[in-house]
Amino acid sequence: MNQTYIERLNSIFQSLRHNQHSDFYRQHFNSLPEDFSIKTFADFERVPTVSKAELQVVSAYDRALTPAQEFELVRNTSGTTGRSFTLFRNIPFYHHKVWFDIVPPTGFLHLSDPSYLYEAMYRDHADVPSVQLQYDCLETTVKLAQGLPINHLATFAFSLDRLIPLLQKYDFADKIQLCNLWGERVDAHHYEYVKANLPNALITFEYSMMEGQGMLAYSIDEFDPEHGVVYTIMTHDFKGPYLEIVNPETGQAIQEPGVAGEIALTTLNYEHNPTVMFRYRTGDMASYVVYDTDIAKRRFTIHGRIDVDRILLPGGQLLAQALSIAMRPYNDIVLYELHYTTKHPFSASSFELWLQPKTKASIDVDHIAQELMQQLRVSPRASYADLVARGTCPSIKGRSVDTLSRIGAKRRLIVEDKE
Amino acid sequence: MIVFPEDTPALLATLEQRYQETWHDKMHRDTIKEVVVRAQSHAAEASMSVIGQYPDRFNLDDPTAVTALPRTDFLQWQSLEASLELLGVQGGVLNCLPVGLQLQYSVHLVLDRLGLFQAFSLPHNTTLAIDILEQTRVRTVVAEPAAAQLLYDALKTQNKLSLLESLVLIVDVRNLNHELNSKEPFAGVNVFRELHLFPGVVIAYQSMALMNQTAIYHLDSTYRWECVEGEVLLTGCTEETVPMVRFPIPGLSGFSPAATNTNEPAFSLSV
Repeated sequence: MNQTYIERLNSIFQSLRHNQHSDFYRQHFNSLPEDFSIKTFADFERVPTVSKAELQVVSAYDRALTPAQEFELVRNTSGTTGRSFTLFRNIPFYHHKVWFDIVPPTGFLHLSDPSYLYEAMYRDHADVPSVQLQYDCLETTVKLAQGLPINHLATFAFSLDRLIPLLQKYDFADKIQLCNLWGERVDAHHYEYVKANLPNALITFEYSMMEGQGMLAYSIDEFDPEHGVVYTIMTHDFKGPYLEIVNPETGQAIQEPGVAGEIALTTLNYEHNPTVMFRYRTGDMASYVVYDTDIAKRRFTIHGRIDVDRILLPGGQLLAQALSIAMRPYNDIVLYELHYTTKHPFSASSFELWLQPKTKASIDVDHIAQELMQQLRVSPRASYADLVARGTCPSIKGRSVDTLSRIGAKRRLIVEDKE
Repeated sequence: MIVFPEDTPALLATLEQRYQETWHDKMHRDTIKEVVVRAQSHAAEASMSVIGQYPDRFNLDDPTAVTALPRTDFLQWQSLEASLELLGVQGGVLNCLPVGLQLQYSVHLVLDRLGLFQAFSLPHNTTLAIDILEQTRVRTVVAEPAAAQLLYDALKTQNKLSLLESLVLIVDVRNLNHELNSKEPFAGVNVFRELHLFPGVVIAYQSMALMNQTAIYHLDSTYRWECVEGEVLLTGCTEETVPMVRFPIPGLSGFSPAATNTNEPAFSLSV
């Protein structure tokens, strides 16, 4: 098993290094000797990691990152984050095939605006009934599925509290055998809620480089109070990428359970990945619960993002840097803090902005909120954004968002049940 | 009474066989529920699987008002294919239709046949739509008129109108009144309109000769159109059409021949 991983890692490495059509990886590997090859995992770990930002930029323009003959589609992210990146993709989602193997579909319900899932479904399952759900008219679209033999559900985690009562109302809840969740964060709230209300469902989680660019399927087969949601990679035949948890500063692989690092992925098979990744650091913090040399036996838990430079909101996104710029004109604000809130367990990330004015009378919070909403393009209608003046901020949390890209900063800023 | 296309003995025999007694009742008007039942039995008789259900209207706000129509095969959407061919579309097409209309795969099949790719944006997400137009070889957008207007206005504001070459507007027949009253708002853009009875069920379309016109369409001749005392009634003639008998088209009161420079008959629609 290990030798097969090594051979595939070396094969991908060599083809990227010697690809005459792609400058990116050739230059990226310059620090390694010309005759370098991967014969052991230790060799593999000498290869420099790639950041998300680097790969996002080059993948849009560097077609050589995937074999040219396989280009048949151009994809953008869905835009719920407000931005798009053009990607070149070869085949439909690998992980959907994994789901289909485990639970053969008789009918699909899927919520994704807009959805790429249809391709994977119809290419192999064109005769399986399906209904695409729409978030802003959820009941109508659930109702459209009445009478169809639905057993697969794929949905944003944040929609569960709206969707599951409708599944119960229209008699689908007991019939769902596989529930795939996607979204920035899947936690105990989601797990327990699905377990309680979709009693026959296997719960899985999609891991994506970007929206619509799923790469790995996880089964959520355990939740325990100590570790939270524990994931197992649903992988077979080396079609999914190789997963490591690495030290984000040194790039060294971490093997000790409980030690937090950053998830890094390496493509093992060109045909089943949208973009070729080599030690691609995803930005997600994780630690092993169980480490095994066999990737399929590794079990881990995800802690969150390694930075908080981007906060996804329903209908938009907030960039910490953009907030920083937007705050500059307000000289009467001494300090501001961005806080995630868990008030809405099924919502996408929601946040509060805490402001510390020079004096309480010196700022008009409503006006600032309105201005920021407009500047940051966060739609008050579509988001749960809540801008609240809280007076003096606790000094222990006194950070400006400019510093939030530091490793682990997010952990300090997650405020749970602060009310 | 005006009828399109002209009745032929073969057509009348087909309709008689397809709908039997219902066809002979000139006063009969199908309700949506009758259409659903007939579509279901049609599928069962032909041993076809129902592979999806689509809504009977574009407005999905009220769940109690929407009826699910069974779909036994994906609609071929030949009018869209013809429009894209006439427009000479290269690269891809941006689909801004709401996903709840269940039309993504139908669009995909058309584009697949033409060797084009499909990009998506939500109808209100002009930011993403403009990103896609800027970053990809997409210059054609399929959208409902309101979404197209939003995008057009946003492009105009940003001085990027050159990114948009063609629009295929999916017009809900219930909103035809609005289209008829709108002055051509998409200056500099080639616009084809399609009239849909239900999402994906095209009943009228435009050709190059009718491009950029708001009120003149070619009527789909696979349906039998009757205009009777201020009602327009539709009957599905071929196996590929929705099986319905004298279904009153909501919001449409008549059609009359229009003079155009095309051999294919064209009609002015009135609401």
